[in-house]
Amino acid sequence: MPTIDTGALEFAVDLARPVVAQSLSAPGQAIPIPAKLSEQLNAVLSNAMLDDVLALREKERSVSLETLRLTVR
Amino acid sequence: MSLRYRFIDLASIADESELLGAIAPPASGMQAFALMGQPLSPFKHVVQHLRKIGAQTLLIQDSVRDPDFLAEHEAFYSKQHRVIPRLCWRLHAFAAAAPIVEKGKELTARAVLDFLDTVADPDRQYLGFVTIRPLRHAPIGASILPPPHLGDVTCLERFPVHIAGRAFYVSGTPYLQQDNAVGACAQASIWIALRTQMKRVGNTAYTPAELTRAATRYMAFDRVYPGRQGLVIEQMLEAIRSSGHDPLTLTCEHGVPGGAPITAAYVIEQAMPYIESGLPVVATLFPPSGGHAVVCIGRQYAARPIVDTTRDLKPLGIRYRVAADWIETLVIHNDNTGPYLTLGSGDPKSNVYCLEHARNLIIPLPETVHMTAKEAEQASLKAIAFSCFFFSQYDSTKPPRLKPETDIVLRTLLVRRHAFRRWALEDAELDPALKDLYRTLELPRLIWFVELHDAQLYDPRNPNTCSRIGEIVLDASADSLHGDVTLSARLSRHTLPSYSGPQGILLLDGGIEAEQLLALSSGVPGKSLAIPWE
Repeated sequence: MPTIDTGALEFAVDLARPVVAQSLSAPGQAIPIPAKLSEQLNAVLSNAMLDDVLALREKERSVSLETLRLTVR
Repeated sequence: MSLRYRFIDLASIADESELLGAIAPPASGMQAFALMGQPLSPFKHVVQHLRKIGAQTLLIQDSVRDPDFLAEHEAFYSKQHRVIPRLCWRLHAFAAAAPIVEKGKELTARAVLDFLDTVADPDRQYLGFVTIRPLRHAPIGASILPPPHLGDVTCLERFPVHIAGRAFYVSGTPYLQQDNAVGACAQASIWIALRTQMKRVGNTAYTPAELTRAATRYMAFDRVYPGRQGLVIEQMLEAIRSSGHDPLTLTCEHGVPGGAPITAAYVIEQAMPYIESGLPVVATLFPPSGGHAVVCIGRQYAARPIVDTTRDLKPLGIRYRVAADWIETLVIHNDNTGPYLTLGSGDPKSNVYCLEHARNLIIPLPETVHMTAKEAEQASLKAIAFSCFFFSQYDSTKPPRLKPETDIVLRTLLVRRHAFRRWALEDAELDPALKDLYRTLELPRLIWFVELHDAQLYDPRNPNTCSRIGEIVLDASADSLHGDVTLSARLSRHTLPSYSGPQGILLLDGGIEAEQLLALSSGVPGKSLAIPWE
């Protein structure tokens, strides 16, 4: 999986700028992030990482029957 | 009625055989047994450990009905023709000197009680207990001794010990030697791991006999008693499952099974997050002499990283390394050699136990931990990218960014929510608004807590080092594939020093509401979370 091109995040930039501007004017106050922005950004990141997530899952959950039958004493 | 207490001045005892002779009466036959060979190695190591932690006096308690040995006795020893006693001795270790008994006079109950009632600073002077079973080949029964270096051992608990109406306390990891009849190393290891967690998780105190029955309930390859043939890993998992825990089994093979050789660094990296969380890790070792199980209960840090496992998470471009790089050896309880020993890198062709012999790690997780430590680490990287993007948006002169500019170290641990809130309350460096939020945030019972440290500042040997420049809080009960795992993510400005913006930001999961962004007024580096359990 190639590294994400940040140029492809232009859609998010346009939506994020008003949120950060609002948070700067009200420090310590929680500013809601538009659902469209968080959903799309999450989707980009999740899709980019999907192969790694599946590979880790496969690796960690695959203990062979042969291994399970090894004896310790 | 004879007094069931005696004192032994440990300093006056030259060797282990003399001590065993002083504890057990001649009729027991234990004195005649030569103190040599593998079975009595734990006894020797226990005595050496007592000396190392500063024990001066042993208060010997006779006729002890030890619940673990009573269960072993009922399961096996009571069925033998020759009478095997069912009572044990218990050695209580004190750093204080024993009372002097005049020559020709006998020790009185009053002298014992005066000693117990007047021990100064009992929390420091009481050094735990050792149960001596009436078994010549396996004398060490359920015992709790403090570790030699408290900071190295993370899997320990504070246990009350009652002697003659007085309550003393010992902080340590329970230890037991296999008796090679009711249980082998597998049961001893599981017993150690479960007994350590008993108070925290609230599980039942399973005896080795009960663990053997649970392990062989559905699958037995040989006779159950005497259980000299050990257990297969599948049976160990069944025994752990029956205790209400959810055993996670991890492989120590780095690449494809049977591919690249097992490395010490990889074993440490797999085990470290759980050990750091105070969760004992049962390691199955396979030296040429045959399989064996030990329990990893701590770790020893080096001044500098032992290995460099810096990696690049390609899709996000994040370069990071893990805190395990600083770990040199693991601290283990080995039921056939002794408590609080070290397990480091070595020659896998030798029979001397080393990390390269590890084939599997078994972690008896509490229920509802659905995400593994590595999955949590992976999810935290996504949260870091998400947060970096927002942080970079404060500087309109620069392009968006998904990765920190600083070299980062990740430290991952499972934390109980009460411990997290206590940490937030007590952490002096946390931003005040963040402190309030962390203390009032709705959280699951257990969370994965992933700390981001500045690699240049990180020094795990010094708990007062302020190198934490962010932290990700994840729902341990979530499924990483589903996606909704991040509860909060904070980054300090140290992660993007060339970008202008606030001192730090926090991204909060809004649950059914929208996610939220906070600009923070403080971003000074903080300390690591030290106590994951309350």
